[in-house]
Amino acid sequence: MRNRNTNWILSGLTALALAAVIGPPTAARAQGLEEERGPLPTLEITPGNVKAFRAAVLRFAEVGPPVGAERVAALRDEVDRGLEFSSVVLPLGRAAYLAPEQSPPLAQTTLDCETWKQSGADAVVQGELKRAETRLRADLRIWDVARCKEQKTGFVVGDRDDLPKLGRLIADQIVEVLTGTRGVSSTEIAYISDRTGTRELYVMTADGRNQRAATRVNSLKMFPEWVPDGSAILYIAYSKGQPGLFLTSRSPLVKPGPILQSLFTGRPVYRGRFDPTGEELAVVSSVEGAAELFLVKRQGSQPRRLTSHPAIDITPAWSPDGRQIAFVSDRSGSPQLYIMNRDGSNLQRLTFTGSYNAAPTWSPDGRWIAYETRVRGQFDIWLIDPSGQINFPVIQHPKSDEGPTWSPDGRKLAFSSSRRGRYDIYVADWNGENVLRVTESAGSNIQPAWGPHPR
Amino acid sequence: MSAQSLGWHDAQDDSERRRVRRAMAISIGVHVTLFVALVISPPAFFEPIPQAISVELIAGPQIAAPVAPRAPVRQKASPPPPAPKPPAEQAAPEPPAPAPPKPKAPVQVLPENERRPEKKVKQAPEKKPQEVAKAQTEPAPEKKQPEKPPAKKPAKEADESLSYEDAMNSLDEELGEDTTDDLLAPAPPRPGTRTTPTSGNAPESRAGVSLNAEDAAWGLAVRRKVGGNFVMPSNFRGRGLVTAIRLEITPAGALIGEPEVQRSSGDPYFDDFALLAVVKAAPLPTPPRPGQLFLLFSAEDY
Repeated sequence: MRNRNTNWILSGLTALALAAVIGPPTAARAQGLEEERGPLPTLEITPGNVKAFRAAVLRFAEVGPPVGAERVAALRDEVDRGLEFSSVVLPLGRAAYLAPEQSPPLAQTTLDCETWKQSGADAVVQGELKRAETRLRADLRIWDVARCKEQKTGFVVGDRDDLPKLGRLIADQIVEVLTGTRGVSSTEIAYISDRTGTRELYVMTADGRNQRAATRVNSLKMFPEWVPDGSAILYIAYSKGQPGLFLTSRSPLVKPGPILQSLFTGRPVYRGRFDPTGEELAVVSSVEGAAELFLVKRQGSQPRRLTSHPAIDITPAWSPDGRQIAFVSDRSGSPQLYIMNRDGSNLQRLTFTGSYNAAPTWSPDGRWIAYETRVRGQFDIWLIDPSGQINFPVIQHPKSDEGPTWSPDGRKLAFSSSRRGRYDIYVADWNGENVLRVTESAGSNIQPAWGPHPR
Repeated sequence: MSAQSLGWHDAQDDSERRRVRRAMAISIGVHVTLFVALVISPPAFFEPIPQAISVELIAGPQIAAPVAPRAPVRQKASPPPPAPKPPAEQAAPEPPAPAPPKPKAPVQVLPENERRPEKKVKQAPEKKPQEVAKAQTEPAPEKKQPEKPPAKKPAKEADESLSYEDAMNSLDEELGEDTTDDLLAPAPPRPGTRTTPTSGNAPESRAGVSLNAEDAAWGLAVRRKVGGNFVMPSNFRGRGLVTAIRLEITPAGALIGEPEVQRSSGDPYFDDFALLAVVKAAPLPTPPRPGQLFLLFSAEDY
């Protein structure tokens, strides 16, 4: 079935590509070179085998004040783990190494490409570690083994005592050098957990390390959303019996605490999401008992009402270009996804199947909207394209999978699932493969929000 | 009942056998005569074949090839464009749909027939094998241009069996001068697609060039070899990336010059991994003839 559905797209592309290729009268055609039997057949090449692209990360050379052999070795392990998590470029197993695993100082620009080729490495990462007080600086050189060419150099600076983080920053940089898109192993996910009894805001790295509470006020927290630059997290908390918007900040530039509450005095605010610039928010508040969407400047401005319907309109999701908002409305009688322009014009219904569609979030490349849809009393996660023509499930399980959120590279989805009984946060490739549970503490872990790349 | 019918059959078989015996006798006679004739005058029968083969080999190198013939054929073929470009708008033009990733389950909503993309290219090969067969059986040396147009004309009448040239011409027309955008915006369905339900497991034929057995076997070997060297980081998948690489190969399959990106996927990194696959796979399996080759690299392994 999969083949049927996807084949036509491929063949369509192929037809176009072929036509494009043959379109201009090429030299061979003008010459009538292959009189007798026609030109050589045009062939399609697909990555039919499952061979992964592998990078060998060498043990970095120490330069200047000693860093310590243990640290150097540990850092390398962390880089490999980071690569594993991003699963774009995979680390070459050490057992496969036929060449020395120690990187030379980068002043030497050499690599035994032939041996590395035989080892099965597609790329080799050499590096140097320098210590500057509590900081470590890693300089990198990445080789294209097949061409035996130096691909690029770069450096990453991090805390000497946080090798896991430095290693993942390095891993993400390696992915970027090789593919043009940064890896996501150093990114973070904010989520809500009730492991201490009340629902608090937590933050962890995307692979589940370093889980820590970001709020401790002992009141109900909901719906974390990152400020686009990663400096703060917006969330909903109850104060004086009314839900409202709050910020928790780790930047000296962002003041934590309630925001925009004077604009909605006496009215509940159920949700806020920053537009891609971080300058404005789409906010859900209540008007005469019906939830409606508003557009507000972060610094405060008269809220501009975007929807006006006696049904509820909730859960705004910005397109990555900031021009459109997807949201959920039950104006048709059941919760469905709708799309409108950022000023509320051009409203269109997006989903027509499923009795309960909610929690839309727009992929970073703008091509998909992930959402949850109810199937037999529990939720699955589907993708729909913004024109509404392509709509298909990616995460399906007899238990509930809810609240999808995209990794900043658009390659992964995080979501909460009750497949173990309690809710936990899971990460999967965006096509639903490689499902990985990243939380395992007691209590429920829900409403993940994947943060931006660290700056 | 059964005995009766058995007897009846026997009688029938007897007369049948007699006829067969007679036919066999005639057949054997003819064969013997033929064989004798062959032995007595071998040159008339045996010579053309080796000749044809050697001509194939000589005709290969580009320099030897006559330059003039093809261009006029192409021009001649283009005036009657209406045929290849059927005006019928069976499929209402739809906005281009992005390529979906590998869905785990059926895509909803899709009216499949309407959106099935251009298959015209695929039709092209159907005519060609005949041409090829003809070329092989006929004594090659006296090959003349005039032969080609006749081979193509019937193709134009029968809508379904477009010749290679016609298909290309019509594609040229439909796609216009610059098709970059089309390529990047995946699969806008074209009006008047003649769709035959996927004969999908002959992927070479999809590319729109005729395939005789030799070409098919070679194509498979190339796909295997280049595909085996097409190793790329996984984050290119799911975006419908397709890159067209142009290369030229010697009679031994070695690369002449550098392969080049004929049509970019839009992602330079992906293009580069395609180029790398060609470089790593070189030399290619010995081709049926040297020349220019196009490889379409797709990030998806459906």
